[in-house]
Amino acid sequence: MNAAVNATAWVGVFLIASTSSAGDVLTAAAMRRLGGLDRLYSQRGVSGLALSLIQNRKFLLGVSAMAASFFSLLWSLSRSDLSFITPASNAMTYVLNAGGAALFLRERVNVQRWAAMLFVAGGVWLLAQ
Amino acid sequence: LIVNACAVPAETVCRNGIAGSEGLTFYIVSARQIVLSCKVEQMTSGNQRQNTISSTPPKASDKEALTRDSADDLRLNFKKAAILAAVPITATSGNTLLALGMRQVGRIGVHNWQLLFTALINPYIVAGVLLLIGFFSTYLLALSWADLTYVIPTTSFGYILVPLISHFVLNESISQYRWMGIGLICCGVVIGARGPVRSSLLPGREGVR
Repeated sequence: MNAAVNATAWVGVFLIASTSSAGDVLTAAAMRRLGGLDRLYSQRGVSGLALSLIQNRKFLLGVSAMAASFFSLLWSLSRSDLSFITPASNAMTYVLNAGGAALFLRERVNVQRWAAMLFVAGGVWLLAQ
Repeated sequence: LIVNACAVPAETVCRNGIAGSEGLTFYIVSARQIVLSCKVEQMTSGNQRQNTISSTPPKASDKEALTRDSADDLRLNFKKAAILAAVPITATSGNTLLALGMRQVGRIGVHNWQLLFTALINPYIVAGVLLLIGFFSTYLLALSWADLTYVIPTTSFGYILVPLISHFVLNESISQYRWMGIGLICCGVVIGARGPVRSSLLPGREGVR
């Protein structure tokens, strides 16, 4: 890949990873807000559960971000190599998720959890080699 | 215990009676919450204890969190492990079935968009879509009682399912890099599965509610 293609590929990777991570963080925030879904299901049934999900703004934003991530993936794959885009975006998503969870969800991302995320990110990268 | 709960800080209770170790940070208003806070305290041992000591009064979100959840929410039991295992299994099998179905249907383009309807009644694709719905449901269910940074590494073994199946069932060769990747992901899953499933229930981490 030449320099221009590399820059485009990296833009694509960042777009995919950031939107995917935003989707994960927003969905996680929505689920935490709602509480245990099994309890909610036993209290309100399927229709009540679905209504609670649809009425939750963070959940809708999260799903929209996931959709944006999918379209970013399509856009990137039309311009760059699959063998670079997929592992790079997956690995970056893991790192952004850990940062987003610590920053926005106030999760205790200690050394152990950072290590787990980085191990998986590195493993995903190596699997695609 | 219930009568005195309003006046007794959980810290004192933990030190004197139940946990026998350093106390928690805030005042609890019910006996259930005191028991919970002591259980939480027991789980914050070792390197996870640095954030537990504070003299600040309780925040409303802390109380709300502790009221809604119980100490069991911090532990990984069989049911939770099964749900976490179902996330990557349904995702991988759903994607595989979708790929098989689309291979049968053929390439869909502008000139033959009607094939899309054929795809929607293909049994592989229907089964794949159902499995992917199952994936999203189990993923949401897991996120409702576990941290994002717990769910993601522990459900990442889906990445190694396809290479391992292709190696041991289809006798395909796996490169050295891939074996290293499989090893790293296994390490990540094992490391990620240790510790409480929800860190935001621990003191000082009210999280987004």
